[in-house]
Amino acid sequence: MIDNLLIGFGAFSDPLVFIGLLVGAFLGYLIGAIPGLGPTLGVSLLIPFTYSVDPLVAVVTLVSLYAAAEYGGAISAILINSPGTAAAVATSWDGYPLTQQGKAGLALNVSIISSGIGIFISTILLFFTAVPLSEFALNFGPEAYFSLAVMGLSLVSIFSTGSLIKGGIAMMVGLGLATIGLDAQSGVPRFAFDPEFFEGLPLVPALLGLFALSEVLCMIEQSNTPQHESSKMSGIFVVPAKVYYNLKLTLLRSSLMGYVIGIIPGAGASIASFLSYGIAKRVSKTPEKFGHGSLEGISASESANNAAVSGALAPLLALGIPGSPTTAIIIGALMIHGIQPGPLLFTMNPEVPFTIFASLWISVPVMVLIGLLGAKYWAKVADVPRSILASIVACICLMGAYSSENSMFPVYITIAFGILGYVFRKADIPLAPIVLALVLGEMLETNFRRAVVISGGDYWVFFQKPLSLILLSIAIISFLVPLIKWIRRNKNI
Amino acid sequence: MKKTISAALLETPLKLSFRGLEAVVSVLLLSLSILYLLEALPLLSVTSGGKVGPGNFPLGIACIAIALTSLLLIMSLSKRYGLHDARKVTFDRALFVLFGAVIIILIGSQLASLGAFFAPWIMATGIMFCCQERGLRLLVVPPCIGGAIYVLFVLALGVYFP
Repeated sequence: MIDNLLIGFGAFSDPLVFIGLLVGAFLGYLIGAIPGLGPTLGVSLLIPFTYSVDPLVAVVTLVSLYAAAEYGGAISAILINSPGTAAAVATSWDGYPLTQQGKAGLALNVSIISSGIGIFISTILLFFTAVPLSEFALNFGPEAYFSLAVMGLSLVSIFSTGSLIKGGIAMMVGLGLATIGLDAQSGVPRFAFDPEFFEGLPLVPALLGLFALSEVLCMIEQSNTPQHESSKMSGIFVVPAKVYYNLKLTLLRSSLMGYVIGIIPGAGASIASFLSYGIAKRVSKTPEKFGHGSLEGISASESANNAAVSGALAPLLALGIPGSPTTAIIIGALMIHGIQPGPLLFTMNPEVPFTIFASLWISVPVMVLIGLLGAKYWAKVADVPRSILASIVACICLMGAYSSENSMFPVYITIAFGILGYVFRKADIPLAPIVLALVLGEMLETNFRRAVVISGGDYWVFFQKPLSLILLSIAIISFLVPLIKWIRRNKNI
Repeated sequence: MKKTISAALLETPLKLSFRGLEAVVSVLLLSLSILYLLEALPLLSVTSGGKVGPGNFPLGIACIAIALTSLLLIMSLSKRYGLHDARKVTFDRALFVLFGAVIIILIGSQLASLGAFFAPWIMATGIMFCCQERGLRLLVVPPCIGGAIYVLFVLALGVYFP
């Protein structure tokens, strides 16, 4: 394991890998600082630029963008009370009051350093859990993989929306789209009305449409709402060490929580941040300060939402299961480069996961420095007019789609999914389950068919093996609990 | 005065009942699910050596999708849950969003023939106009975006245009 870790750190002897990390960090801050854009959109927009680079450079760039976007989300939350990402909402509750008190520098310093500590601690946890998890997963049979994918999808569908039905519909849309193309086992074309569809629905153009192009339409819609003016800051570099000594328990607890919540498919950075904030308030000696400029509140929220980034990478690397839309897109990017995430990744391509671990650790000082030195510039980014942002995003989307195959077919897919994404956003149908189902669909079907064939046509095989039974039970419970709550809530209407 | 009225007309938000929109979307998805089911049924006759052929999984998806979309439709139309729900979905600047979508479709579909410089230029102009951008910025920024996209994709990444 240590040898592999050295290989991971050794990858940074290639200057391109380090440049990739810097570019990812820079773009991540940029994307994170702009309210409305987030890591999912950032990663999808960056994928077209990674087609022609080395897989390691591509992975490091995408992962550092993902992490940096969570750092950057706090900047606009603190300075203009407009969180750059959903996970930074809790940060704004205490960050903005501190800005109003003239302590924006202190708030930013605590948020950036807490983010760094969150990533650092959670990557240690990732390192020590992902490898054993992948070794354990090597013993998984097809029935366990099927059940694992079902559990992942069910949790995502429930966490990503308030409505069980809409989450389920989104999941079915994704699964239905995943069946388009030639059937891998029989070679029969399914739902492929044009030969272009024989290889299946192209993932990257679909993602660009769903997350980025639909956002362009939302930006046009919101273009008459006033943009905030950024505030001035001072004292970002003069924070006494005592502040962090007092926050040590909060930082440790929130990083642990963030990592664990990040592992759960669908839970993600925002739930980690809210839960961690809530617990920090409950155990704090000064709970009355929360909401009025508590440093504990900022550090709890920021360390948890960044720790969730490493958490979300654990199921991706060890099991090949994406825990969030962003990691689903990263899986798509890995597949483009011929890398299949999952338990075999650690034996077939160990340089990939270990370079990711190394990059997360190396990214800590890099991102803290970029954040602290450039804080006032990142704050200005939020002032960029929406009209310019919308134009840039739309152009990159369509050009990125075209460049994926040098043909017009992916462009049409992007446009269609862009409009679909906008309509779904308006109807409150979540997009995350669509992407996850699209990515997991093939794995789900292949393992389902394989398990049934091996068992000689016995569909009960999924309930006979203990691991599969546990995973399916979690999936069933995760569907039943909100259903029971809903029935109880509506009983007295 | 005339300008104000036309501007106000363009800016008027479109307000729809949330449950109404839900009903429309569920009808569309239900229709698509039924079409999907009809396409999946012939696949059931194809066998691939095992008991589960290429049609079984899509059949399952179609059945669950039909059940869920029907449930959503019933709920959005039912008196108990849907009709008493006064929530509204606001489509702010609906006409501009529609113009924006039309521009994206038109320019996007001509991307290969317009090329990596002119397509982004025209599209950026259209989208910026839809975002209420007027004046000098509307003239200066789009060609810069076109130039940047050309440099990035064609010169740096080597994307080929016929």
